[in-house]
Amino acid sequence: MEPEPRCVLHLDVPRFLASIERAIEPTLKTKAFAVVPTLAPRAPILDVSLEAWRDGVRKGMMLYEAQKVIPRLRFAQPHWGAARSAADALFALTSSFSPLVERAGHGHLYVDLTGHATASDRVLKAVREMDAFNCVLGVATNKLVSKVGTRAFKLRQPSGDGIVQVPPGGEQEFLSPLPVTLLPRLDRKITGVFDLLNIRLMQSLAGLDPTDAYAVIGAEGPTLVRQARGIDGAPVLSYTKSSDTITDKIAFSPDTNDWNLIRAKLYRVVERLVTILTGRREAARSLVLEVEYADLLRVRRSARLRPPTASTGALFDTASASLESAYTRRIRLRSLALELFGLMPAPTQIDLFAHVRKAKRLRLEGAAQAVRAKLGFDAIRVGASIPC
Amino acid sequence: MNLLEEVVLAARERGYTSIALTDVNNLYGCVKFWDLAKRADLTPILGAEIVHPTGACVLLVRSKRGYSRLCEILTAVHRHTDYDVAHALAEDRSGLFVLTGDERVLRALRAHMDASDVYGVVTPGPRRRWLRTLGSLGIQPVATTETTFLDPDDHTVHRVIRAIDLNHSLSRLPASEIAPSTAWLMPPGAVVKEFRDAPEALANTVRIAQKCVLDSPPWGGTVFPSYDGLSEADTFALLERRCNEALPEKYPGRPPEVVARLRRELHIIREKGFAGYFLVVRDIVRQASRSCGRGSGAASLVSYLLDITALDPIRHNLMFERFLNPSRKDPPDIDVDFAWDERDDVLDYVFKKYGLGHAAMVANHVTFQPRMAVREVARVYGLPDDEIGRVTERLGGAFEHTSRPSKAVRGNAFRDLDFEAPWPEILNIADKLIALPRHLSVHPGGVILTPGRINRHVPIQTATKGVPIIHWEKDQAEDAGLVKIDLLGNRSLAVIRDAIRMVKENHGLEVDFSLANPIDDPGAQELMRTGRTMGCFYVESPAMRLLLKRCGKPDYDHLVIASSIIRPAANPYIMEYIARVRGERPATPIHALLEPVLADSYQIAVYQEHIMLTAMHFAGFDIADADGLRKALGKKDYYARLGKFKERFYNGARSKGVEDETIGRVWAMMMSFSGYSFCKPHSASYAMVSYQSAYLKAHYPAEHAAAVISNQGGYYSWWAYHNEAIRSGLKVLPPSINLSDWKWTGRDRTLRMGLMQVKGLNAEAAEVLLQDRKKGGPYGSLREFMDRVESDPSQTILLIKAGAFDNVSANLTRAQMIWYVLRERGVSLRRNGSLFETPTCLPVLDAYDEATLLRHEAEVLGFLVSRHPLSLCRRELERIRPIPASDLEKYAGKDVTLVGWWVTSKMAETKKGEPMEFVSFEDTTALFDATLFPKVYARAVSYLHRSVPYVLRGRVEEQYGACTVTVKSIAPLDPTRDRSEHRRLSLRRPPPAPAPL
Repeated sequence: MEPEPRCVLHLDVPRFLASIERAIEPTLKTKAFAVVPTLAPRAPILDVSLEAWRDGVRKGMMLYEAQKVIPRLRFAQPHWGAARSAADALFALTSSFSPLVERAGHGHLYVDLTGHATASDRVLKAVREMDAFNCVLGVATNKLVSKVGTRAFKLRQPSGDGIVQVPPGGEQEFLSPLPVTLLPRLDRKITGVFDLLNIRLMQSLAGLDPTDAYAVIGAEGPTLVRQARGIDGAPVLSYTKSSDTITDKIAFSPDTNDWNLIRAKLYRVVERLVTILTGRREAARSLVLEVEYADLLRVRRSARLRPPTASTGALFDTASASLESAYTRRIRLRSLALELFGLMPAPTQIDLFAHVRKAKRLRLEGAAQAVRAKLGFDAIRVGASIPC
Repeated sequence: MNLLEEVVLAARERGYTSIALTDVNNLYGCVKFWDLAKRADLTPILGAEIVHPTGACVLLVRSKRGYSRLCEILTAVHRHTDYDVAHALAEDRSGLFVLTGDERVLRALRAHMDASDVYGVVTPGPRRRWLRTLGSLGIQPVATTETTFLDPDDHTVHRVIRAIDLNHSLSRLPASEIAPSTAWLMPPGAVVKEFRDAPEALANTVRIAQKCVLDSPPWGGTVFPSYDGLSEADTFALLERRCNEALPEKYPGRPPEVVARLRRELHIIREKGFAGYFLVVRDIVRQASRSCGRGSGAASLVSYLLDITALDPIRHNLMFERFLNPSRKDPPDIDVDFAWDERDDVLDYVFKKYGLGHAAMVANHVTFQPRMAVREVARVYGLPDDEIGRVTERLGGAFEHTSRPSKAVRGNAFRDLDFEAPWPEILNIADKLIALPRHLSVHPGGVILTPGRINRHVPIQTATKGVPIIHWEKDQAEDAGLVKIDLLGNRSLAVIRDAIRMVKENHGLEVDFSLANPIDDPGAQELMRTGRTMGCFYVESPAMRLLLKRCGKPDYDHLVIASSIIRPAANPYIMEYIARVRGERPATPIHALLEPVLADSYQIAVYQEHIMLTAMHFAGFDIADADGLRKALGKKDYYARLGKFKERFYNGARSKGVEDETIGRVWAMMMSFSGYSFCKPHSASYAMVSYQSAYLKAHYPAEHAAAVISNQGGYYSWWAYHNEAIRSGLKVLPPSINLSDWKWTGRDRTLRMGLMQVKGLNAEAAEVLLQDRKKGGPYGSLREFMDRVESDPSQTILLIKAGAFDNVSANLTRAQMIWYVLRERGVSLRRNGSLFETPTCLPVLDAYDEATLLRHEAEVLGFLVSRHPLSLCRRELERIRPIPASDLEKYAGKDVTLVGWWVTSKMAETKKGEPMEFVSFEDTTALFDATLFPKVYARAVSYLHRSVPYVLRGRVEEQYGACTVTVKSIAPLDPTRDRSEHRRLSLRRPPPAPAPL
């Protein structure tokens, strides 16, 4: 008996943050508005309502730029707690259909429905019953095709509410007429090569020889050709498996090039991640720091943590060195993200030869963590996290 | 008021009697400082602060010898990486005081010899320990506040300046790079209070100041270059001999008036000690293929006989005294133009022949201008370049009316921009930076040659481009008596040279302007008469073309007048001149006394000589004062300088029985020379080059147009010349791998685009290609090209995108060609089978659609060349139904609608001081000029100058046979609204051509 084909559902809540704000504040219904972290003129737009999007406001614009586009644009500040709750609710809802649910960013989930393909309609119905979101579902045999499916749906229907189903074996036929720009994670370099080679549709990309594609496009070439043919073997990772990394990000509002402030915010990010690590009794083996400049250039730096650590001081020292290396221009920063990965059980062995100062620092960190565990994260601030 | 003036006046106001200027490692402002301090009745003390890895100290000059030594030390600090300051001072510090807080320097100097001229610097703040150290070394203390800025509030600006200098943000500025907040110019009382525990140090400060008083500036009198080390007498004898040798050839029969003029000139030259200067310039000029002596030096018969200039001063009645007269105190200079791409060779010759130690170029002191100030401060504040650019791109025009950025941004040009935080702070700081020094650059052509070592006269440093430069800009160099030779680059000379070369290659004809006089050529005259002079040197600006057309007199003498009368302040006189030239008004002098003076220019003052002669004949000035008046009019602060001249002028004219009203009219005419103006020899020299250009354009338009675009010279961007060539019936072909040279080429009625036009194409890579093609013949395919030329794939892709391979690999699409290039880069292809013989190896990659082709064309060539961008707006044009610009004359006096692409513009002011603008547009049929008066301009200024087409509605005004459009409304025509064409095509205007040198 042939195994049943895989069935992966991609759930996409278009304009997730804006939907949350609209649910909280009904007067925003049918209004053009944008979600911003603060009301500073240089605050970055985090999300926009469909009405604002139709008039030309885009994520990443600065608040004052958006106001130029729509002078009477309304603004809402994000309710992060509500957003987390909504994401958790979506996660819980989909988990009731499958044990394999993967979080893939705000308002995005992958659900492995292999064996329960018919459940997709019920998922849609259940999300609609939450009465908070529009929702697009892509159903296909893999993550890639289901994701492209939701993107293609939104391209045709920006208000986004419905389902796209790609039958097993129909992947390539479905993808062929679609633009290659619907493929996920295309960077400027690759889109530049596509432009040079006049590759506009998936069918052109799918027709390439993967070996040649490697030579012409680069290391990503064969993968892209496979993707254009609808081939993707990536598994849906359950929550526990996918949490091999933890990430925190700070958006500067307004953008800034104040070195002291940036370092202080980085310290705060490190503290938050350490709190998570400590709670899970884990340590990180590596980190990736990414800064986004005001001109949208992103620079990433990675570093190994030797030995694996969950110490704020050790993590901050390494992250700070990465920041030095990534932040070399004078241009302001819009955001800073820190990702810890290679998580493992925290070593319990005490360093007998720890320097006295280091030991003192560790004691201080321990005390701060204890206070936080008891009274909450914001109950205590360390001097290094306050800009001088 | 400039910074030095502010410093000097503040010092005076705060009660100082002497002041020392000790800039870090330089004497950039010392000549100006001396003059300003003297004028403010302060004793100037010269010096510099030496900051070097081997030691830091302040050196103060107490004698002329000390000044020379300081110049040597500063030169060495800049130019020798292994220089040891302490060691050098230990060896020789005669004429200098050494003030230092650097213990290394103190110990080194103390160890060598008596250190009575060495002092330990004591500054505000804790100093007890330092005083003890000084005591133990036996060194006297001296009090100093290390003043870096004027007032305590200036500390913020100081920090921003340091951040700009060090390319840092404010928060990452190292503390060691910032002066303390106490480093402001405290009043003497506060300084005394600050050092009340160190009275000895204060007493030493006063003592040193007293010993540094110099009776006269240490730079002395005029320093002439010497020729071949000859004595003054021998030099003059050689000059005289050379002139007499040239006389028979240039003036057969040696006419007596010529001999007399030569004698007079030589007499003055000998009196002034100027003989060597002429011989040196002659020697330099002989090194270039083509040159143009210009400026007042072209009035000299000696210059003409020595072939420094090509203009006969007797025939053209040029006044030698404008160049050199017995009472002129400052040294005049001779300006010579060379083809821009030959000038560096000429300079190399100068440095080689006259020695690096005796020759250097003049510096330019680049100061913060509004646009630069805003850009630099905004960068310190971390704003991205595109955000800064949105503001600075509009500052050029707006700032002709105000020099304060914070004020300018309140103008109409900025009304669609928001200035949210941190912009207000940025603009306020930018206000304070205006006119402050930013950095040194190299003067376009000024060279100083000295008989002795030049670093005893002025410190030398090496400019970024590698040439030695003095620390002063031209005004200070002149004030210090250093005689400058201007060796300037001129693109039009290269245009003429290249066009002549192409004519020879294409037609086998040698165009020799010494034999064929272009000024009598009917073709060239016709171009001048009709104003069709785009691409012709000096006569191609919109204003000049209109003037030529309106005058309708194309002869050389009228061209010389026209070249001079186009000045910012001369508008009323231009219209009067046109009426007189056309015989519509009589050429009546304002007063009979002026009749002989202005006889050669329809009784209107046109040349600088007219200023001098008017002052002499009309108001009884002597030649020195007349020259002084002429010079004062050319200064930025002319209004302040003219007070005494005006009074004398009025009194002198009154004494000749002239009424005040008439004097006022004459004075007003003289004021039309404010800002800038030209002397007749200058205009006459340039008019000759104009005619040479026009001759080539008239007879060899393709060669001329190719040379103009290739040399990137002229008033317009290359794209405007390209369109003009098409409008005049020339055909333009795209770049070709087999047919293009590096530069554009022209033949018959066809222009071939040069590889230089491919943006991003490396000149060295192109040279390799051209050499290979010369050796191996044309390429048969892309593959053959790649086999023969080792080229970076990115360079080959640029050529493919530009269409350079379209003819050699016609069976492939450009996308396939690029695939092949990228694949070659990625893998080593097996060479046993030709990819091109088995086309199945190539994927099916469609040909680009037209929108992509046009986008690539705009990207790679800098603009659309296969079609005019207005042709992309077909539907919109059908809707608007504009008249073609070529039909403008048919609509004289009527209201019309036009569509035009912005070409160039010039801001102006009405009499009330309101801004307005003259703009040139073009459509597919012609170039046309439009006037935007203040009301319309105020509405349009925020979107004018963009690279989009505009819809103009206005009235066609015809004046003296030339039509312009007085605009009533103007708005961008949005090509993206035209759904019939390529909606998303993004067009960017190419950058303007570099200003002519």
